[in-house]
Amino acid sequence: MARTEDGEARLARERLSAALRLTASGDPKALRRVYDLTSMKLFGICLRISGDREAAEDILQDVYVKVWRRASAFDERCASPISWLAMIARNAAIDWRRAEKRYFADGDDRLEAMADDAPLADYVMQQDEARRRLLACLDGLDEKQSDAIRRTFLGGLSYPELAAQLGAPLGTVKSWIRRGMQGLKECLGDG
Amino acid sequence: MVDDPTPPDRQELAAELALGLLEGADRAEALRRCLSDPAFAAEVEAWGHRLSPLLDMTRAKAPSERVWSAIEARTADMGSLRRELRLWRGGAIVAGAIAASLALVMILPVTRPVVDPVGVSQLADAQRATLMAVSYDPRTGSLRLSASGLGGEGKSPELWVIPEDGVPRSLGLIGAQGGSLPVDPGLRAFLRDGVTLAITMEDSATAPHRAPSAAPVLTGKISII
Repeated sequence: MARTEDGEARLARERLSAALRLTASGDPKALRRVYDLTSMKLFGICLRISGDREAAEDILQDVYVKVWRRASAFDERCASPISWLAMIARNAAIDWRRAEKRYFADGDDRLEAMADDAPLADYVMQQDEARRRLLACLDGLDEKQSDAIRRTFLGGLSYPELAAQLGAPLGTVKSWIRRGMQGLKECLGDG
Repeated sequence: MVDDPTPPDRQELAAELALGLLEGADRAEALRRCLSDPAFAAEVEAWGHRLSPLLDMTRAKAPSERVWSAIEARTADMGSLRRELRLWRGGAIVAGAIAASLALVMILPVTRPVVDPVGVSQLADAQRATLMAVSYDPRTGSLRLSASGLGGEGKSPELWVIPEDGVPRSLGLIGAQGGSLPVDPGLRAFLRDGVTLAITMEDSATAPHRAPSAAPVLTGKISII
């Protein structure tokens, strides 16, 4: 059972890598294939961070235009193809939030998108080594530190937004983040 | 800041920028440091790699049809970017001097060149894929840029020069189609061998800016040949 799922995950990864290589060669059909394989996941990320459906769609457009431009820079030795794409989406969404400047309340889209951040059972089954290690290290941290890191990374929060969400003073929240990130780095073995 | 008696050290700042926590002047300062300090930039990127598996936990959702139509329209014009860049590189730059090297090393002429010196640079993204070629002619004080294919959604590529002091100076906005960009006479002295050029995506309505507001999409160093 586990073997089959591993096999499927590997196949999905290879399929996506192949589509990215073709995209790098300038094949528009390959970009469409990358889009078909990943747009729902990347849209989920854009929506989670932007909290605004219309903005998330604009950000998603930018993401695939970037992918079209930068596909040749994808290096499979550094990151899995889906992680690479997910980071492009996350960074684009954070750029949008920081440019927006407005300190907005969480909209319905955002709350809905936040509803199940917990990993689904089948996701856990398919976790690759990097994800297992990261989650184990996060679980090993003080709960407040780990919660602050997860919220920030998945929500695109600024320090004041994080402090407001957690109902704690800014200085305390900063120290949770800094100590937590230090602990995380040590646990992951490259601190 | 009252709440923050100790400012973040270098490691903490890299972690905070990677998490996306910073905003305003703090963020601008950290982004500036990414441009001038490659080790710091690498640390920020390493955090991205470490944390990216968390993104698997967000719920997938289908975007509307309009997204693909817009992507298709925006990428259609950019298909020939790489070919244009190759042609431009082959034709306009002093033969062979730049070759295909992405290392952007300083090129020392063995004999005195018969043409006036020109500055050249290849701008690349974080993964070192070259995406834009730049040459500078000190006689006319203007830069020539290959098509960038950058832009859209109210954002335009803004070119920066970052001299030894690490402070970026805006050279102005550049068009997606490249072309010629006259350099403000006050800034020409900065365009010297070894200085960094960078492009960030900025709000075109308020350009030129005093400082970049986003991470650079492309960077490279000037070589005088």
